[in-house]
Amino acid sequence: MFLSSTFNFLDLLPLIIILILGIVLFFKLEELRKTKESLMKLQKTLEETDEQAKLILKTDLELNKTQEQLDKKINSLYTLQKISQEIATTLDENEIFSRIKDIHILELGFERAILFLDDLNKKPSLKLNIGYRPKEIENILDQITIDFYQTIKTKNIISSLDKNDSLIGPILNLFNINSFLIVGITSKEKGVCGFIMVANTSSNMTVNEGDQELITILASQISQALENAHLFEQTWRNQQELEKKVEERTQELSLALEQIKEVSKRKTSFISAVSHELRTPLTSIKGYASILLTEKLGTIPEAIKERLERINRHSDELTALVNDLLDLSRIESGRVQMNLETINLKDIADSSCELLSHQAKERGIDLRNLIGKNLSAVYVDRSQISRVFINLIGNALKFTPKQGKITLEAKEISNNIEVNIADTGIGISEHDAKLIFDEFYRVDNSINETVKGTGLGLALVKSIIEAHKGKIWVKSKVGSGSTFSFSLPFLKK
Amino acid sequence: MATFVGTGVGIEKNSFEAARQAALQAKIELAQKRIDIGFVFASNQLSNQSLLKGIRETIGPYIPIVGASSEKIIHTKNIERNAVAVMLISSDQIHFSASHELQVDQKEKQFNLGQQLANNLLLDSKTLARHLCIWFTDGLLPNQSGLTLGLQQRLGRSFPIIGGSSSDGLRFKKNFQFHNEDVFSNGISATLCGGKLNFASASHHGWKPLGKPHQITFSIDNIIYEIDNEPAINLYKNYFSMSPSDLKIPNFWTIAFRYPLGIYLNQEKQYLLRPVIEIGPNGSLICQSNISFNKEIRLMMATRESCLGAADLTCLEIKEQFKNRQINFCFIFQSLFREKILGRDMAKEINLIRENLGKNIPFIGLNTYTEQAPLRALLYEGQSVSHCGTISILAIGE
Repeated sequence: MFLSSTFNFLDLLPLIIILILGIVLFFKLEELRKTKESLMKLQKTLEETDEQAKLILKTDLELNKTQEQLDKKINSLYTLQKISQEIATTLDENEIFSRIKDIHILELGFERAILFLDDLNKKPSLKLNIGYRPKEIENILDQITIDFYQTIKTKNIISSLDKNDSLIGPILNLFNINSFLIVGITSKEKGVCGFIMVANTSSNMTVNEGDQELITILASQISQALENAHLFEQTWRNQQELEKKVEERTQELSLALEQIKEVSKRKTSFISAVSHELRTPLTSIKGYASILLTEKLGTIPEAIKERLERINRHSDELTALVNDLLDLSRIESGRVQMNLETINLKDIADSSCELLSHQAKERGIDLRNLIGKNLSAVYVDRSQISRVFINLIGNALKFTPKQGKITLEAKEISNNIEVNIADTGIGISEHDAKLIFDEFYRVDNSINETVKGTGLGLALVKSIIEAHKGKIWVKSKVGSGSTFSFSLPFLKK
Repeated sequence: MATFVGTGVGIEKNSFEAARQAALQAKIELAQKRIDIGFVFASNQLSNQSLLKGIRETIGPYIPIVGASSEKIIHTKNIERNAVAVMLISSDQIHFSASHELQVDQKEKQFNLGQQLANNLLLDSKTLARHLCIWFTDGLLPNQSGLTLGLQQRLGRSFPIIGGSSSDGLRFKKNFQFHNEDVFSNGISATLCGGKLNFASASHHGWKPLGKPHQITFSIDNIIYEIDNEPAINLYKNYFSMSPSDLKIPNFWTIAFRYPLGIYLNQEKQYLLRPVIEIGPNGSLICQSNISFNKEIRLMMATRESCLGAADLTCLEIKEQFKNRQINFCFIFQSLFREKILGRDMAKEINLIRENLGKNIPFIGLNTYTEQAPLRALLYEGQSVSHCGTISILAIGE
């Protein structure tokens, strides 16, 4: 029984082992399946991670591109601002170009820059060269034809990005570059008068679309700076011409003045000579007339006497005229001997007023001397200045109607004493006031028609005042009286 | 018993005048102390024989001069486009030996040239303890691993080789290296620093991996032919749905420099960046520097904040390494590829470094295509490799 059961067990053992192995295999296969499943999951996760990575990369690339463009724009704007500041502070055309440096062009993102402007014959004149060696630039200048230059210019903007433009190939060859941008330089007068080209030789640094905006701004800044320089040059030239003209006119006027002085000198000499020549016969005429009037040579009829008195009176007037003329010519020629002394003007004014007070009283004119004692002293010729006072007060009496008023006043202004002789007379027109101090000028009015005068009085007064380094002028209004003023330098206290 | 530093910057258009101006300022700062070495960083357009003549005439004969060019020059006060920066060192603690090698682009010769350079440097460094090699290579070298290996073979596998390559504003045309009176391209100039010195270096980029990992299935040196058994360019095509014009240079650079490839390095905190600089035949990708470290790569992405954060982290690591000791001077190697992310903030990054390190610490620097710096993870035993896209700082003190 036992043997049979043992046999049975031994018989079953392989089956049991197979069963156990089967179970182990089942679990192993299950484990393998799970591992495979995990691996597949991991693989899927990795694939998903990669997909996510692609999304991240796409976003990052976009962001970086934007950031890079922004960086470049900020850098370029900084540089444009720097260039603008540099070129805006000069008005010299050549200086404008020398202020654009290699570093500026590099900061704008370019290795080379060239700028041509039209010369007088519309040929290209090189104004700026950055990045080209002397030999390279010599080659370019040798090869660039006027036609090619003009063709580039007329396009205004050319970019190597525009692949359809037939000019691109020749430009790349001529300037030995990889990418470029050309923008015209304009002038208000001439239109497009040149161009600036920025370029790169490296394929790593190509020109992009954003550059066009920047270089257009740069070209416009340069154009503006050139315009300013031209305007300045033009203004400067105009000024130079004006200065030259002024100089020429001054020379002409100086010459004319010299001629006038010479004429005036001759006139003075002539008057002096004539006056001297006139005085001798006048003295004889007056002498003989006076003798005849005394009737020592015999009684003379009334009619002849009357004529002789006229001769006598007219001789006096003519003598006075000749004396005035002689005085005037002496003063003008500087031949008059001035007896200068320290004098208070009040004293002269007082004695002059006293001399003329009778005349004033006769005509009922209120003659007032308000000149104070406290005036500073002047260093003048007493007789000459008395003559000035008498002449001016006399004139005032002459042209002031009865019951009128004449006032003398004086004040100190800076280093001068100003004397004003104001009357309530008939006044002088603006036109006459300008000419009144001229020799022989007589105002055309009713008084002058009846009262005789030489027209030399005020000219003589003016000469005397100017000989004392003073000034004389008149303020007047027709019908409202006149104020004759003169100033004389006073002695410092 | 100290190390003194004088720095100067010349911004004249004439390279001789600019160099003389910079060297004179640096010399004045040194106040008539003996000059032991001059480091010169200059803009490409100023990089000619007159430049070194101007410096030599100012500082005198026999003083070693090393340096390189880039479009912009970094110095303590600013970043200048057309400038020369000169740093003169006077030290009775640190010894500098300098040398250079030419025609370093030939892969088969690189190892030997590296060894030869090391021999020259060692020859002049007497029996002093050697601590650091600072090198300046041509940024157009597709692969400089041979040079590294050659130098490491003589100086030691873990010997710190730190530096940067010259650059030319992403034009990839020509750039320059300087040694004594020579200005050259396709070369390497280097100095070996010995004696008593402390130094610290750190470099971070700020790019983070994005999307799933990919496998390089076929590559040689700096050229990736296949990724995931497909033409390598498909990686970019798939991620960016690119049009044929997007695949042309320079349009492609907008994407390639902003989203470089990242090589995963075990235990390293950051991926090793490899920007693609050209699309080769059959959809292959030509990278800046070699990619033969690992087969696992990722597409990388960065933001301004993550880049500036990397600069912060770099400064922090420098300060941690230096602890309370005095930093005498620094060199900054700022990758030009960072410009695609930072844009106008390239200057902000330098300001950030200035503020972090201390405003009184003099530094000069370059924009680079590659930065040479050691890996940090223990696994790599301080092995120096070529980085891309980083902001790297080398700080030196006593």
